Amino acid sequence: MIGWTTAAGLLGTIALYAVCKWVYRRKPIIWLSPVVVTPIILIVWLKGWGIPYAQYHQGAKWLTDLLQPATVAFAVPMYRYLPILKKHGRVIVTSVGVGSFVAIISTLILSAVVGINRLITLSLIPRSVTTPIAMETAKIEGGVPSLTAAFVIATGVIGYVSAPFLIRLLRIRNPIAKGVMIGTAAHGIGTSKAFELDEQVGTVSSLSLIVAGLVTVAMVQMGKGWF
Amino acid sequence: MKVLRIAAQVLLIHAFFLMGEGFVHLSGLPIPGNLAGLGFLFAGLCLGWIKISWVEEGARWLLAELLLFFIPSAVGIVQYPQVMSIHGLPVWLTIAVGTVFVMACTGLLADRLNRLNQQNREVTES
Repeated sequence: MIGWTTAAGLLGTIALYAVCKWVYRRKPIIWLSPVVVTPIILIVWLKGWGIPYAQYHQGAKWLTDLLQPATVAFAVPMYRYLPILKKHGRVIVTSVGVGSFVAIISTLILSAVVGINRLITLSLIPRSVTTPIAMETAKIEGGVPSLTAAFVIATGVIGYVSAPFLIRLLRIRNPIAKGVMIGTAAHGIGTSKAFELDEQVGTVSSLSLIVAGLVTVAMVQMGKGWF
Repeated sequence: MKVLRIAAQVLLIHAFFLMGEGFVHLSGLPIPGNLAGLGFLFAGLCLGWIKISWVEEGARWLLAELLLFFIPSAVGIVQYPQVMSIHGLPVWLTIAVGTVFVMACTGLLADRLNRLNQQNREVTES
């Protein structure tokens, strides 16, 4: 039998998300985005009512399960953008590869410098790539998928906010380069900013986020023993 | 019957995930099942075995609502009070500094590579 709180967890999350999405469409400021607001309200709700996370997740896990087919679905934009990948393949794959490597190494170094414990560091490593892939990657190297999910959101929001500023500061004019930098560092949330800049930047960003996901899993798989 | 069509396409995409899981299980390859599924679907599309119209709407829906699917996991951070309190500050700082650094490196590299490419093209064309 499905309990009350179980159903509330699932339906409450969907309803809250729908409301947040509606508000965001009228006031498109990143801090009002459903990715930021929905988890915060849910956290306050769980804390306020003293509901254990496990109980909430009993219902909400139905949504988490959809992350699996969602990852597979990335094959569709990849196929659609194949002409772009063929034309700019070398630049995209090289930059995304180096960028993903820098993401992993810089996380390890920064974590060591500020003294972050091992479990959290492992959960931080895949934070630049799209959530479904990041969570699988966290499992591979022994991180905590839940922490990774929250870190991925924070990364995306920072990328979203800082991308236009960085593009101006570094004087990057080429749309391919803009797309690659956003997609590699800030996955899907950053990509929504890329599409605001220009259609081509968004397309390259979408492609880069998929490539970054694949490259990161491969690197983590190879470097697993060293973390 | 748009909803039904999307639901059917999501099920088809999910079948590729299950195929990926099965493949990983049998082969023992160290990759997540969802990525193997991605590979199968991509190969199927490229080889023309799967028509893009069979999966496009379902894929678009899944990717459009991607944010909803990871909200429950993000809420899971409540189980780690050390990250949510003031002690978590170094973690959030690492994320901020790291993200800006990665973006700058990747952007500059891609920009240089592009310029080199264009120069090469001009040299060969002239």
